[in-house]
Amino acid sequence: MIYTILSIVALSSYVESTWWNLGLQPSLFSSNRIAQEQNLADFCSNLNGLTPGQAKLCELYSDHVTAVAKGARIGIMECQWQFRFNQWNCSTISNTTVFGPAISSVASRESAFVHAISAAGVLQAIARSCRNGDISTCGCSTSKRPENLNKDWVWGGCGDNVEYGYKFTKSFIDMTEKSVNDDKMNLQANKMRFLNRFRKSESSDLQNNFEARRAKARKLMNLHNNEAGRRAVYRMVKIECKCHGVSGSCSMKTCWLKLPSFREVGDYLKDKFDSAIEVRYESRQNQLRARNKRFSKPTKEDLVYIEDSPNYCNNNPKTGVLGTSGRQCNKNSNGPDGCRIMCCGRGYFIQKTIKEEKCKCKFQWCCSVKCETCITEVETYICK
Amino acid sequence: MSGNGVILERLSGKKLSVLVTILFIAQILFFLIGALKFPNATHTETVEGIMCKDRNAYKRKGAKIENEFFYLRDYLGRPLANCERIEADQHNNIILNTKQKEIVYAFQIPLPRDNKVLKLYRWFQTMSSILQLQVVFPPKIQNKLKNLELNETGVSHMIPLDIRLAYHNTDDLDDIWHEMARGEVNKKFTCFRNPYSLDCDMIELFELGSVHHQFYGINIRLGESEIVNSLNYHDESAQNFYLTSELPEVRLVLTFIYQTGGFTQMWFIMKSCMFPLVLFVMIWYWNRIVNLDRESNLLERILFALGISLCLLNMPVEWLTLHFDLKWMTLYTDLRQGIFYSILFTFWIVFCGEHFIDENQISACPNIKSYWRYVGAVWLGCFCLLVFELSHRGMQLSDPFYSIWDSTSGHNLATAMILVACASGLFYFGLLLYLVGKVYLNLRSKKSQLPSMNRMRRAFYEGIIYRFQFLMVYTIFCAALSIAFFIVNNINETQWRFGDEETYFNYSGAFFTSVYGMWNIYVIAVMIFYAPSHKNKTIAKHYEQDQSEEIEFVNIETRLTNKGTHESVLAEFATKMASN
Repeated sequence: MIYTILSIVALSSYVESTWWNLGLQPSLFSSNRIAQEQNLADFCSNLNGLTPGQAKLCELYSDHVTAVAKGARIGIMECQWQFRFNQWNCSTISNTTVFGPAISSVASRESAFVHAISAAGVLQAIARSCRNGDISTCGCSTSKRPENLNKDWVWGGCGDNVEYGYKFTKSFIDMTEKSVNDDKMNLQANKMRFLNRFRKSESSDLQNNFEARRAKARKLMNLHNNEAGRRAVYRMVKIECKCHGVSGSCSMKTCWLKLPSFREVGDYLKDKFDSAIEVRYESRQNQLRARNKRFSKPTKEDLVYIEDSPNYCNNNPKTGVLGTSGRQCNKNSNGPDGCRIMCCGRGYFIQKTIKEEKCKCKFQWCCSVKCETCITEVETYICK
Repeated sequence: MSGNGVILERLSGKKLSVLVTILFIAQILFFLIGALKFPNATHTETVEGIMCKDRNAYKRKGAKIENEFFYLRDYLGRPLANCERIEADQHNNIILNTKQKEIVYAFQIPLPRDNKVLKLYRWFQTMSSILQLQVVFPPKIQNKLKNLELNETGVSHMIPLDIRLAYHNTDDLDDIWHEMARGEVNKKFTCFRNPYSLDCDMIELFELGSVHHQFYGINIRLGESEIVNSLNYHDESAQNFYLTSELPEVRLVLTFIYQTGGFTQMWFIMKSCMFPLVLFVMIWYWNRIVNLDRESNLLERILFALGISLCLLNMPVEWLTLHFDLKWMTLYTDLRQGIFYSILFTFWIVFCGEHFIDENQISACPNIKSYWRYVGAVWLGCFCLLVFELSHRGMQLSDPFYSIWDSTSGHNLATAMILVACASGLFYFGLLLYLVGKVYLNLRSKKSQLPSMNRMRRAFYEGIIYRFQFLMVYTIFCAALSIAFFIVNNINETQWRFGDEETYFNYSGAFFTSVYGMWNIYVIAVMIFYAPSHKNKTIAKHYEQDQSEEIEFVNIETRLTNKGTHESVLAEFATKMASN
């Protein structure tokens, strides 16, 4: 009983907002903006979408906010790129849920992908900011005590930035799940216990028990997919080596990590999306198991989902699905971008437009472009 | 060869095994020190260039206004800089409202870490930097490029770079950066096109022989050049991608490689310990030769030279770099290594030659000139590498951005020099193998005759065979181990595991010190074992009963100490042997 009402509270608060919202605020992309901020506590708590724990982190690591915003941004951009030919095209809604309730409250494949790609985006952005020198707290050595830092730096140099990105991303993003299901629950537990002392109802108990299980399952799923996203960056990282011995011989060799281009990470995660594993929650072991017994346990690199995807065909303000009406489709394709699938059988309009655009551009190293103006007739197909 | 015999022959089995055990323990000690006490030899720092807007880029035409040097942080790590940042559009991978000429890529090392400002230290010794260039395509054209087959073969582009290198110390004023070098170089980039970007292979930008200052800054301006061919897509319309006010985002990433301070410290300590030891053994060895009642022979002199070159290698002059800015240190390090190897290779040839018991020209004349054919290959190879070294590293002393590979003539010269060096190296090892084989067969044929010889002569031959086989086995062991370590080290370092745990066992350090220790022990052992023995008189007494044989023995001795002058004795000896 106690858990049950809590979980409903928790769920609804979860739907309200997410940190992805930072990616929709272009004012955060400039590092100067935050450096000039006087009152960080107010600034951070006013950022829509952060949980109290994340707001605290934002206050402590204010120079990371730019990187997190950029990371969220490239996550969203990459998601939209990967799904540009699908019925669901990763469109954002201009409120704090970012992708709408269809992603936030349905534990679908798409939701799994969004979690993974945004976690990967933040990792990538943090690691890049470390290399720019925009973040001064990037980890250096393996020592826990910072007073040894200088000694360690002279002795053995610093560690890699990807590792720091991984650690920060883990604490920042996974905090969403923690605060939803643990902190808030504990905070309100006593209150609820008091309120519910005198009420007992079997049916609502069952209903609430179901909701609690659902919330727990969702939490595990999100944590799993966040980890999968972070690992995707690690998986795509390349190792570069350089020989520099006597007279350029290879008697000495140094290797370092090279960040992948984020498109490669997106492609990798899209493959993982296509082979995502449907799981169900085992309350006894408190873990997720593949629904189909023939499949082995999902690895940490796999994306997992619990529920089937909603219908993305029609506009539904309740679930936040925009529908495919008005989307462009490809007349000749049989894939998901083909007009038959994209328009869900509703048919399409043909639009002819005359376009005046820059063309025959010559790219000159480096890096200016000279173009001519061309006039072309373009035929586009748009879903009814 | 000395007729007195060397220490190795006169040692009893027990003493020899004790000595060998000590050397073996020393070798294990080297390995353990490297594994447990040495940190990684190098560490890297990857820095992405920050684009600064150079407002004066167009005003500068004609008038000689000095270019501004852009730096990013002051000595406290605050972002107090003269750099007006240009931010690339995250959405489109383009840079808006900027001309390429206005973009300056600024780098400043070291980066702040864990909220602290780090400095570079003189302990870092060397710094080299590697440049990577990437052009990120805007999504506008990526869509069209998606279905293109990837360009497997790289296309090379010459891109002019205007590079400035400057340093800064904590006691300097904030905005004062001292220019160390400035260069306008044409660098050749080999680029591969993939659907999202044009990725160029890394190139070496510069190498510094000393890290004398605390902060270094680099400014790079990209010059203009044609790269149209690489973007020549099959689909004509794919070229409609940029508007004139947009620039594609070009990222420059520099990776700096420093020697770690810990490695330098341990290395200095190790060298400082080995130097007096080798010096002592060398003096002891030479003392023994001087005390002989005869002139030193060629092999002894070469062995002495080997000792000197090892002393030179071990001499810890590097301590001076902590005080003085010694830019030539890398060159010097390479030179003395070259000297050591060339003398070691010469020693092997001479050693084989001197153990060849036959009446041909090699053993006839105990002079380095008689080995010219063999030694010539070594010295030719070394000379070529020296020319390469001087024209590459030597030139870098004055211009750190210089690379011999950049200009066509330099490229040809370098290639030629390295090819000749490799060829002469191969020729040398071929000759060495041939010589070892010949000596081995020669000694084996002598070995089969041993039972028919009298005791005196047999002892003499046995001595030669023993000495030769001992060194051969030992040398092959050392060389094989060096090569094995080299290979394992190269494989080992390319591995990178996820969430790499801190290991307390540093393989690369262990291999490094092992190889260093091994060749030190090798030279020390060879100097000890092959020093002339003083024990010969007591041994000779055993054979006193057989007077005639004693005379013969003396004959052999005189023949071998004054080779060439006693050809007739040799012939006499050969006939006697045949009659026996």
